Amino acid sequence: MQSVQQHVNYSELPVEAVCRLLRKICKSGSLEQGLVLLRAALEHFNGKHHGCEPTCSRKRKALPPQVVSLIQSVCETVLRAPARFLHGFTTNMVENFNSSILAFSQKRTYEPRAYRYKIMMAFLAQTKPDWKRIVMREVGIAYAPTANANIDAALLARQRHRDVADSSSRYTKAHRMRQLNEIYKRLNADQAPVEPGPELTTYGEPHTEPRPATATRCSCKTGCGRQCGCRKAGRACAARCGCTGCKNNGDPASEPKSRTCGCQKGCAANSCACFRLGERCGASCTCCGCANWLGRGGRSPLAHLVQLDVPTATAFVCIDPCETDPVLRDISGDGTFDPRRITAFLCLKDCLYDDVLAVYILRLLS
Amino acid sequence: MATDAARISLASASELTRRIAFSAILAGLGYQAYSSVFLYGSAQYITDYAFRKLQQEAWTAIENLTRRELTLSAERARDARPNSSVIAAFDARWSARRDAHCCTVVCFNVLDRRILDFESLMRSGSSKNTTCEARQLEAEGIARICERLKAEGVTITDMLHDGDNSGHKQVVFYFGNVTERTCLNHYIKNARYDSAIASSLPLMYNVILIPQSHSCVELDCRVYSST
Repeated sequence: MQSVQQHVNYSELPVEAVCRLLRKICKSGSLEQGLVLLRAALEHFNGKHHGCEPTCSRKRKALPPQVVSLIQSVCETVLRAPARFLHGFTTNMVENFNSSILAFSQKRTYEPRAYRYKIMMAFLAQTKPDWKRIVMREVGIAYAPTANANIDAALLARQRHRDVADSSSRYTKAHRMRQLNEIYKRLNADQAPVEPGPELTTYGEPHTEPRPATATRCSCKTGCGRQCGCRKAGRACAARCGCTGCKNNGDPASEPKSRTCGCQKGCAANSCACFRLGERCGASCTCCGCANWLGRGGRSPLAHLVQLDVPTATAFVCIDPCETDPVLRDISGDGTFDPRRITAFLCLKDCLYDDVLAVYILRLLS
Repeated sequence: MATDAARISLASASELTRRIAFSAILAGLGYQAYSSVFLYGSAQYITDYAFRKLQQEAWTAIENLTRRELTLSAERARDARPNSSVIAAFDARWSARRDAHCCTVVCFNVLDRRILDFESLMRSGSSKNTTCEARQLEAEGIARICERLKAEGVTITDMLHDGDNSGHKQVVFYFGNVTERTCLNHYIKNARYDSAIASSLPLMYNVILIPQSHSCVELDCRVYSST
């Protein structure tokens, strides 16, 4: 330090300019931008121009050689470092290992005992790709293609009977029959679809007269928000309505949100205002890593499922964790894709959304 | 709402019901969360006793499979270089930066990029397995890993670590003279912390200097970062 002080007069250094430059370098987005700025700084301080204007006549002294060599050594050190040391830190194995653990620990609904087993699963997913099959075999869940097929068929038949007999729903029986026929037509190609009967009244009798056309109309002045009668009735505004600035055009994206949230730790908890109200988070929410899947579509984690409608079955493909190698497997089969036999699919890779898949399958069956 | 009639035992459960229960167990759900899934339909689901039984069987199978795989990787590391050393990298992750209640310590072989062993330490909850303080969790995990590796016959002579002295002490206790090398990524991280403290600036706005001869660059390997 003393040898430097002998040669450098610090009063001549453009301290403010150097500090400003360093601050700019540090705020630069990437290392390459920082290097460009460093090179420009060397050219600038070694040049004669002051830098305020292109036509400025004032001159500046060159930097002391020690300072120039210091900046040059920094440049060379950074430049000589191979690219793999500067980038690609985050692509090693432990990062992947930890990210799966982190994704698990962010879900607070899980029981704490499962934490260490989740770590083991993350380990097994890397070292033994078919670990799920081995564990299922040890637990006793069969992988035979036709295991318990009759029981499943009986369950479906009973479920169907129960659904049809249930009159507590707001839908009419004919509507539910049409829905169920559509589902069962996809699930089981051999089963002939049942023709929809006549529309029934709430007492189970068919209508003798055509139902009167609904005459609901609104005259909202504030854009048909939550108070709109047409929206309450579940239909879009028609031409007969006298509303102004109507936003009730049947588009689910235009539905008004009563609350917005700004959660930082996911929205699948009671601390989220949208979750408490049973609404999905919308575009006006500023939440980070949203996990509020109460709504339909939008930013739901179900968005990573792609529904494939093949002629005789409905398949679900998990593409988010398995983007490079999507796997289609039968949950009760031997892994071959046979749409006549398969009713539902689960991802056999380490998919963290297995529970969501289970919910989705149950919704389909119910 | 799901009814009691929909709750069935494991023996009478269909393949789909068992598979969905198994899926919930693998996803880490408890019985309460699992049964709440069935609010959306009237499909069958298994009882509490059957769920716990299936859960215990699944966890036991996972644990046995994990132990088997870890033993294999330790044997592979031991047999690959019988007269030489194993370069092991240690790192840990906490549930929180301060007063963590759970910590996962990972040890992997630098040469073949395989995980040698790992340990998850919990200070609270039903699966509590340690009583040490939060700041001692990493050293405790490293000590347990070293004890198991020594029993497997693995010898560690080089250690890639984040510069924590307590972890190095544990490895030295089990394997004698172990050369500690600081991970390059951790070196940058530590330098940024130090410079941030010295200059009282925000952490992300500090200059990163990368010295060439101070860290795991000397080792001529492809994976030198344990973060």
